[in-house]
Amino acid sequence: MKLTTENKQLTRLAELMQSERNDLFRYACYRLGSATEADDVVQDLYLRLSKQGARLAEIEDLKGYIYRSLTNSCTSALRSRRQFASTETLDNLSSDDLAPKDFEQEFRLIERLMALLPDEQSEVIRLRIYGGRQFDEIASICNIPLTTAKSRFRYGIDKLREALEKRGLI
Amino acid sequence: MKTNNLDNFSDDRVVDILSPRFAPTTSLSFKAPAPRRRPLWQAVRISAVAAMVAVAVVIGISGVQTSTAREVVEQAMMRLAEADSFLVHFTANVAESKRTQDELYNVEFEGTPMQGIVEIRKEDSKVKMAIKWQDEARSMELYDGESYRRYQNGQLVLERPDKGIDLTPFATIDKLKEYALLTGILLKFREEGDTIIVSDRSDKVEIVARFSKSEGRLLGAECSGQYNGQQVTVLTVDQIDFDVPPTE
Repeated sequence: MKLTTENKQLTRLAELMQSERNDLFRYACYRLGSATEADDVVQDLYLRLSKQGARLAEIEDLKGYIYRSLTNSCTSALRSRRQFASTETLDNLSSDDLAPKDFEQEFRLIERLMALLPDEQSEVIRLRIYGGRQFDEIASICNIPLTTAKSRFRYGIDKLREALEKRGLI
Repeated sequence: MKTNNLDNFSDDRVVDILSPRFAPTTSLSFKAPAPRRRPLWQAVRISAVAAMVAVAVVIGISGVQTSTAREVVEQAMMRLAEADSFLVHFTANVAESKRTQDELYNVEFEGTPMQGIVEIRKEDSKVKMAIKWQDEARSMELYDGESYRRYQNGQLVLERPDKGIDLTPFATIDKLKEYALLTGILLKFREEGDTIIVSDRSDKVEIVARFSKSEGRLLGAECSGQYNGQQVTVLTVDQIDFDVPPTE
C-alpha cells in the first residue's frame, strides 16, 4: 500500500516518540513528580501531535518541537494544579536529604534545589539532566544561542554549589 | 570551585546530586497507525469496547480497600482477565450498516437506541464473541476466532473469514493504554473522593465510567460525543455478569 504524506509523517512521529520515550518520560517525571501524570502528559502530547497529520512535514526539527511541546505541557499541568515550585527552602536541608532513598524523596530534593534558580536556568538543567539533551539541542528547544544554553547551565550549577557549600552540605 | 569545562560535568558534585537515581520506568510504546482513515463509527465502536472494559473492571471490585485508583482498577482487571466468560448488557444508538460485509449495525449519533448483549467466552486458546441484538429479527453476530457469522430469525445469513477479538490488550492497564493509544484514545484513571473515574477524551468521543470505591458499586458509564453542538450519548453499559454459562 502506498503511504500518504500523512501516514509518512505519523510514522516519523511514532518512531521519534518511540526512540525518545524514556527521555521524554524521565523529564516529565522529574518535572511533575508523578509517574502516572508523566505517562498521561507524554501520551497526550503524542495524540495532540498526531492530529497535526500531514502538517508535521512543515516542522523541520521535529525532535526539538516535541521537547518544546513537552515542556509547555508540563508547565500547563503544573499550572492547572496551582503548584509551580517547592516552597521549602534549603535552611533545614541535612546531608541525609542529599541521599534520598526513593523517587519521592529525590523529587522533593530536586524541587527544593530548582526553586533557588530562575526558570530559564532550571529549565536548561532539567533538559540536560532529565531530558538527556545535548546543549545544541537545548539551544534549539529553548530558542536561544548555544553559548546562552551553556552559560545558563553553568550559572545554575554554580549557584546551587554556592548554596550547598554555604550550608556545609558539600 | 567554578565549572570551566561546560561539556563535562560528569565529576561535578552538584550534577551528581541532581542526577536521577530512582527514575520510574515507562511501558509507553508508540507505533504508527495503520495507513487508513478511521471513520467515526469505527472510533465509537473501539471506544465502546474500551468503555465496556472500563465498566467491567469497575464492577469487578467489591469491598476491596486499596490506596490508588490505578491499584483498584488493576485488581479488577485481573478478575476480568481470569474470568472464563462475561456478558456486557448495553444500549447503543445504532443504524444499519450500509456495507453488508461489515457488522450489522454501526454506532452513530443519529442512530436508534437499541439494547444488546456482548458475550465473550474463552475456550482453550480462542476467544469467542457474540453480539445479540434485541431487534425484530433477533439478530446475532458471532466471532469464533476464524469466521464472522450473522444469524437472523435463527438462520445463517452471512459468513466470512474474520480473526475475531483479541483480549490481549485488556490483560493489564499498560497494555490497554497502549492499545487505546493506537486508536487515538487516552484512558485516564483518577480519584475524586470516594469516586473513581475511568475516562477517555479524544476529539470524537468521550468515555466515562464512574464508580464508588467504598461501596464497590457502579455509579454510571457511558460513551458520548459532540454532535450538532450537543453532547450526545451513543452507548450506555447497563450491567456486566461474570462467569455465566453459555446462553445458547
